[in-house]
Amino acid sequence: MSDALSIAIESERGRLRRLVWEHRLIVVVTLIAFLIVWEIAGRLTNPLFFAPPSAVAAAFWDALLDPEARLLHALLETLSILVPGFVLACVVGVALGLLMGRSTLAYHLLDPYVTIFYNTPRVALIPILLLWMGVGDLLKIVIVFLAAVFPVSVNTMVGVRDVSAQFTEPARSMQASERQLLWQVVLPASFPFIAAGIKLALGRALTTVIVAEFFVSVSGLGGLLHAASTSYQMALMFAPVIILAAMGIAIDAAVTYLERSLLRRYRS
Amino acid sequence: MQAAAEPAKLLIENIQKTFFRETDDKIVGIRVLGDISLSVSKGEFVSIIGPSGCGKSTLLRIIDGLIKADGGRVVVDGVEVAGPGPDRAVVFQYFGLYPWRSVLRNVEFGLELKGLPKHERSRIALENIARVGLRGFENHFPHELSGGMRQRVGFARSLALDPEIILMDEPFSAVDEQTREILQEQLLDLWRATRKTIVFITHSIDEAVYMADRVVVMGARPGRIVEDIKVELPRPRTAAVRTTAEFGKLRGYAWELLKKTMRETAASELP
Repeated sequence: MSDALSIAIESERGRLRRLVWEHRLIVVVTLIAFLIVWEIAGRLTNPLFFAPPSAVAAAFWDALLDPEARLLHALLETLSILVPGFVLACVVGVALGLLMGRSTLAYHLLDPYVTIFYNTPRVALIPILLLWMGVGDLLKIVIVFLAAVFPVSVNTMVGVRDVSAQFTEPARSMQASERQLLWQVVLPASFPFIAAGIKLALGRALTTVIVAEFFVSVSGLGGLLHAASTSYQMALMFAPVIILAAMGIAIDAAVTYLERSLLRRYRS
Repeated sequence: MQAAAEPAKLLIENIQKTFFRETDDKIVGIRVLGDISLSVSKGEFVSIIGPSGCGKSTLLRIIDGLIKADGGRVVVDGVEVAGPGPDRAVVFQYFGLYPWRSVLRNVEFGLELKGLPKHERSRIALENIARVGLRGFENHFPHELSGGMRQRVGFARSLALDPEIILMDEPFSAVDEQTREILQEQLLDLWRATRKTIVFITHSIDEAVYMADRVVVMGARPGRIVEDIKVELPRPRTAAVRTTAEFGKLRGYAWELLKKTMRETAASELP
């Protein structure tokens, strides 16, 4: 009986393993096919407008290993804008959302401005902010902050207002103070909404940092992209794009992992 | 009737409550509780049954202090209740657990809010987790437990607070029939061991009679007490009590009362 069962389990395990390998094979084969087509198309096109993957790889490698470490330097420059702007946006966004979600007065006071800012294209603000702050990292950090703060605050607010009596009632019955209710119940109960807001904000921040590096002062990965473009170095243009794509994928994977491990508990 | 020598543990006097609901263009007032008075002695187990909409859950929340009554007062040990307090705890129909907290941390929660030091609150929590038979599940999360186990965490949490009165709002209506019977017996054991005063809301007549010393039957619109039935079945009770003639008589009587009040309510709603 148990022998038959263990044989059946073993065969099921084998089937699942084969399925995983099959999927991997499909991905690898199509990727290789895609690269071959790109290579052929790249070699047949005027190098001013397009580059084959072999040239892109070579340019990427050169930029990575050149004595000035241009690519790495650009990446660090971009991160030095992205990280402070984004972290600040998360902290302020969650605080603002908690305040607006819990206090009707704060909601009515702040909601018009949040709505205006949330719906104004960030690029349109750049010239105004440029006049106020001048060209520099501070301005870029502020632009990233403005892009990311409102998705976080709006989502947090919605989450806070959505917190069910099923969470607040037991705590109130156990004589939680307003402060305990906010930090121990409302904040964790809103976490799925906050996580969704942060994910949305990350995408916006990543886009905005490149836009800022284009328009404010040429620097970072956006600057590298700009420089390669104005000097018609097609292959080099792909290097920052690859890094940005990798960053996007890595961040998305990290957030998805976090969601899976933490949000799993929220579904009953 | 309450003897003068032994004042009531819990006294409910002329409680009234009206809820307002906004429809398209007007505001409608619904009288949920008409004029409720009830007295519960120390260590007594009182069940409250009634048709849905009779305000029994609202009454429970008013006793706990989660909802303010429009009129009347709730008195515990001679002191009027102004809000939730350490002398009362609620076991909710929906369990009321926090999904981001483990079993241990859920049971600790009330003690944490009170500011008890960590070692003390975990000692009390572990003790009560063992008491409800969940030893070994301390580090599980609510989503990993069955409905019956979740409600046992709910018990453990209210027991950890060591209240004098436990208010239970249809605690077993979200679990299956077999689990329900097991939980009923476990609750009676815990009650016997702790001598807590229990107000137990249910929509099951069978459960109300099986568990309680008294069954309070409520009617709807407005919520009011129709009758207060004394249950004098011997204790400790086991499932065998259900087959006795006395049990059948009490259950039949309560059921007739309920049917009568429901017919009256339906008749009063006719145009």
